[in-house]
Amino acid sequence: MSVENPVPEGEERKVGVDEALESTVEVAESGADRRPLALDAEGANQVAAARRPTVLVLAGDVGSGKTSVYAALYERFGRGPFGGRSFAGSLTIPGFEKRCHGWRLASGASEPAMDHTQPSDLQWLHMRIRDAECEHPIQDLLFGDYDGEIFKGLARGEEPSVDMGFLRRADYVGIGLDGDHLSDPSQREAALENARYLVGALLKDERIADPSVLFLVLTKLDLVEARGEEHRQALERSIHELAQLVEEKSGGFEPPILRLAARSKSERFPLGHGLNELLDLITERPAVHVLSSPPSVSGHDPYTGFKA
Amino acid sequence: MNNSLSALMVGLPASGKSTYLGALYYLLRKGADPRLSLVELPEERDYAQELEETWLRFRPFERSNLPAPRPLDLALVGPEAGNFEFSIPDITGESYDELWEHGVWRDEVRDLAVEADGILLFIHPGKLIVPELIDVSAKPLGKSPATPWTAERAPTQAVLCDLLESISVERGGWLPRTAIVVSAWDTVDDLGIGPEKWVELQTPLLWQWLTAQGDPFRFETFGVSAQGGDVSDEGVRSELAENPDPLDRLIDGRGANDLIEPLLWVCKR
Repeated sequence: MSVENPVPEGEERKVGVDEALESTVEVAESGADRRPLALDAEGANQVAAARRPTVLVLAGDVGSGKTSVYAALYERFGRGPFGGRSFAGSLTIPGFEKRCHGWRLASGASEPAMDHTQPSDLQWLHMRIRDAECEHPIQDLLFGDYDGEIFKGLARGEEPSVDMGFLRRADYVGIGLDGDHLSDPSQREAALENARYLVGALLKDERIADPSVLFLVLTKLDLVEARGEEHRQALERSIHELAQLVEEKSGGFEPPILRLAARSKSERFPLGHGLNELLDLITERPAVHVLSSPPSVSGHDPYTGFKA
Repeated sequence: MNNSLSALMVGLPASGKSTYLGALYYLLRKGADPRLSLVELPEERDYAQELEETWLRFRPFERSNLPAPRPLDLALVGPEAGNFEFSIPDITGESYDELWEHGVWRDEVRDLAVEADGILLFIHPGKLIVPELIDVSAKPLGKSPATPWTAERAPTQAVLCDLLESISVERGGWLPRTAIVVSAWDTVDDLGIGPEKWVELQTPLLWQWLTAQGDPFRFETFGVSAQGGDVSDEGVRSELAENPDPLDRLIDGRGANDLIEPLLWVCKR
């Protein structure tokens, strides 16, 4: 939803970058609540053009823990700097707050829970971070929080129901692997098969700009550990098999592997376990596509890759 | 110092903005602080006197039904500051609630935010909402589903960060000098830490936001006690009333700042 300010007749309206950003932030329309919660593709596009953010998309099935990763990152910053970095701002604080709600006492719930991302949810979350010593400039990050059904369909070879241009712009695409399923013998093979299909789908037809944007994200590490050593080892074999698959299909790129427990019930895994490594990955090497123009795709902004 | 300066007061409802103004006006009018005093009584002083009277009578400051900012323009003088006009309108916390919850700027508040030479951001320790997580180590006493998220329940630190973001966006991406004013400081000064550490520990997200901005952004943290105690408590009111000098209510306790300090600091150029 665009917000227009009246301009006196005959006067040209000057729009600054930040004003432009503000005007394209979509708002949630539910009754009287008109507060922007996150960014739509247009808003993300504006941020991308103005601030050159690093774009991260986590791809994975429904319930694989994608949203929990983003929420835990924000929730962890809410308790202080970590991994040598500080929170430096966000255009989507309400979006993070809403996602963290189910983990908090204020929700009234007896156990933490994360709502599944819905197709109607605005997908893009924005965060600025900075090294705690303030020696380097602030870095802008955009997180694509897409409904897992989209990736499920992609893995099944279905025609995507939404425009997938965002994958081409992503500097990092993490394949979310549900540790709970992959360490459960009754679900492991199906989960692994789905992950294989997803790897294949992402590397097909230049859906991502370059295979080197890929990495594997094992979520729910706490549940893996709880199943015991035998199952953990089986899971590790599965992950390495997937990493090999990426390597084969990408012509030799070895994807990084992260192991996370974003919001564990176990005291062994504090809030945001492993997220510092995620931040290391996406901030300590330059974003892949910042300096080069990704291949143009019909209907997409040639620089940002988001749907125009 | 410029001859004309304005400050934007930012804070949620009951964060101590009006109390501060009421006590500040009295202090300046009495000329009780050598660093700064009123040159003359403002021509339009209805609201200033209303605030002052509320403060002098130990009455809690009611939530304002008037949505528009109430102007408070003061001609001030001090040995270092010289003579200058200072505008510090009282802005309702509800205006900021609206901005956070609905993304709606009141036009007058937006104008003040864009033009302000400094910001005074108020936090009341007693009104702090913290992002407390469900204790996963405790066995849940039966299943209870989560209630839907609403913006009103958001932690204070998130709301204040968002307000600063919103102001920054309106100003083209930068903020003027910002004083973080922890009000009712006397209620937390027994912790043995100063206001700066208090903000860092109690509102870590806001603290990070403030420290991460870097040059040219400047901020400073102050702890002020303008009321002298919880005046909704009759016992406290009686106790405060026993002291003949109202200025003694301005507690200068551990780590505390006086009311003039944040004002002088935001005016510094």
